[in-house]
Amino acid sequence: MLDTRIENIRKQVSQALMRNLPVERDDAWIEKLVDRPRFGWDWEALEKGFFQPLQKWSERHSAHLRPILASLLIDALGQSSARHANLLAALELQYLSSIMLDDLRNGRDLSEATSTFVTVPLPTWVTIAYNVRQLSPVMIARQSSELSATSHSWLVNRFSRLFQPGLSSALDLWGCEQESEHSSEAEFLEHLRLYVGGLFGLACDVASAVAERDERAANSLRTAGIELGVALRLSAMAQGSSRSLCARHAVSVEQLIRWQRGVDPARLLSLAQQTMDRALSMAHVAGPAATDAFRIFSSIFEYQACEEKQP
Amino acid sequence: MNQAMQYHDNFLADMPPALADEYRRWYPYCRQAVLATIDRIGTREFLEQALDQPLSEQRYQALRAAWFDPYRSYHTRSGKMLRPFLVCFCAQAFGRDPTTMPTIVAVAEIIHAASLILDDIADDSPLRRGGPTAHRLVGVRVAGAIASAWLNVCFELLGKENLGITPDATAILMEEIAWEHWVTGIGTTIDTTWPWLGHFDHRPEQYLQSVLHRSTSYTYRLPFKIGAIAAGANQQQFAQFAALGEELGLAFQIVDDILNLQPGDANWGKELAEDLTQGKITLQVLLTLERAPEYERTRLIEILKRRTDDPALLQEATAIMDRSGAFSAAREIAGHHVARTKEIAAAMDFLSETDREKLNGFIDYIVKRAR
Repeated sequence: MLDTRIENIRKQVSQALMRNLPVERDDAWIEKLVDRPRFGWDWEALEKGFFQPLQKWSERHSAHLRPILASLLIDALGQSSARHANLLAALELQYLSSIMLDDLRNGRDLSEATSTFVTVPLPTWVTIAYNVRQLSPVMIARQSSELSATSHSWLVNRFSRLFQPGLSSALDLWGCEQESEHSSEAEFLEHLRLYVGGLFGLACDVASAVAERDERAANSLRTAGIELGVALRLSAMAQGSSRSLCARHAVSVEQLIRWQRGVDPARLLSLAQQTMDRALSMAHVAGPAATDAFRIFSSIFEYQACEEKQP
Repeated sequence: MNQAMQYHDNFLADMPPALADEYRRWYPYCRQAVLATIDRIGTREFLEQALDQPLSEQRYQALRAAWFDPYRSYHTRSGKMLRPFLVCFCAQAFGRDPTTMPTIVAVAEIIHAASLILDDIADDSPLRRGGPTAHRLVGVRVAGAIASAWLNVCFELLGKENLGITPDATAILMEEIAWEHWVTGIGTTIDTTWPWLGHFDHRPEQYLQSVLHRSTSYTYRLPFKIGAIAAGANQQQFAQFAALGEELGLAFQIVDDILNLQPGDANWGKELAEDLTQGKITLQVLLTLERAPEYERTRLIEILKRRTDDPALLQEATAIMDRSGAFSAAREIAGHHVARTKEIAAAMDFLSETDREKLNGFIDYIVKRAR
């Protein structure tokens, strides 16, 4: 039963992504999200340099973990997630963008930075990653009319907070490159909250906006989501997976945590349990139904070492 | 170089005297507002609030080294501060005192400098404003991440601080900036994809469409929008400023492309013909391919594909374009957009005569400049 529910959400999100990301010329899409063309676009360049590589990337990464969390929460809070598939798609775009540059080396010039995973020239690929990230707040702004005005404006604001992902990626890469040690476990956990927790927090924001939760409940739910994201990664790391999460027959490629702290697997598991407990306790502020949704979500993960590389 | 002012004095030689005086008047304030805002963003207090978490000394110092210092160095090398100047101009035109909104004045320049880091990565440029580019300092991935953080830091500023503008204006401003960030990427897609596609049968109109959502955005449309929104412009006035920025941005980019190959002055601040070296398919390239005889078209494409910096070949390519009449045709197109810009300015009946003169002076400066 749960398997069917998860698969249905995945299908819903994949369909929403297909609706929202054209693979070929789509005048209505460009008019809605960009502008009415004044001179005329070169559609071939947009198709080959943006739409098609993104569609392929999206098809290769179809575990849709964050939309699943958002969907379970929306339903648990008494709303219908099916009515808000566009929000789930916008949420997934931020995830897709977060892993697009993960396999590039931090070279001092382009030739030192290339990766075999990238099938288009590096400047084009970097532009795609940029576009996907910056598209999601605009999608929320222009395609979520089903939300109340207050929730809509609040969610646009939450999706626009792209400062944190940029900063946390820079910090992760730099800390690793400088070979500096996290000075304490607490500091390492703060790094994880910022680097890998944020998009799980954003999934909770989507649910809070749909369910019109007040600021206090929304903040608690977001904190719970961040803790949940960290707990999942700690558990996976304890099993030897530093960049993947396995959930119901799907492997989700996650941002590689480069700036790590050497902690033994038993301690990682213990930290994961403590963090998960914190997540459940924070979720309870939004109501017992939210805690239930968190429990259901965390039950879909299979903790074994799963495929480390990009599929 | 005027060390105190961080711009070349000869850059003012192209401006009408009244506009140059206005620029000299606002430059120190703009520069101070930009640097003070950047420095405030770099404080532990600001970062902890924006990140919703405490920062240990180690993480804070890592952020300073990787994210703050390379970016700030772009601002301390040089910079004309044209964008903050335009925000001040708009504010004044509506009777607002720009000194009451320093953060708003700074935002356009902060965004612009972040976009330069991304441009430098895309072009793999080693130098910017006489110093090493960010990706040469901290690596391609770190530079991309810091640029993204600086581009989007405006949402932290606008969402949390009292900036001297109304909440409604703040909401509109955030939506406009989010849209400009997004469409700039779509325009850049054309710029980065064309050289890769390997064919040259694009149309001049398609180039203009990409410019409309690339250089036009951060150069003029966004600063004018920021100024108009912050100053309390009504919808029609806002639309006029946005349209004016768009037309002016188109004219600016066409002229900039021409100056890259045919600078009117020895003090042109960029590497000569670097667009050809990078194989860029600009308006004058496309106009040449429409007009030149076949053997010259073939030769131009051959040179572009070589990505050469050989001065003799660059000169040969420039001569082919010149013979085809592409430069004149491009100037004519720029002239059309200048005329349109002036029509829009003439219809801005809320401007004082003095402000309209300054605006027209600025329009003339953008297209008649030799550097």
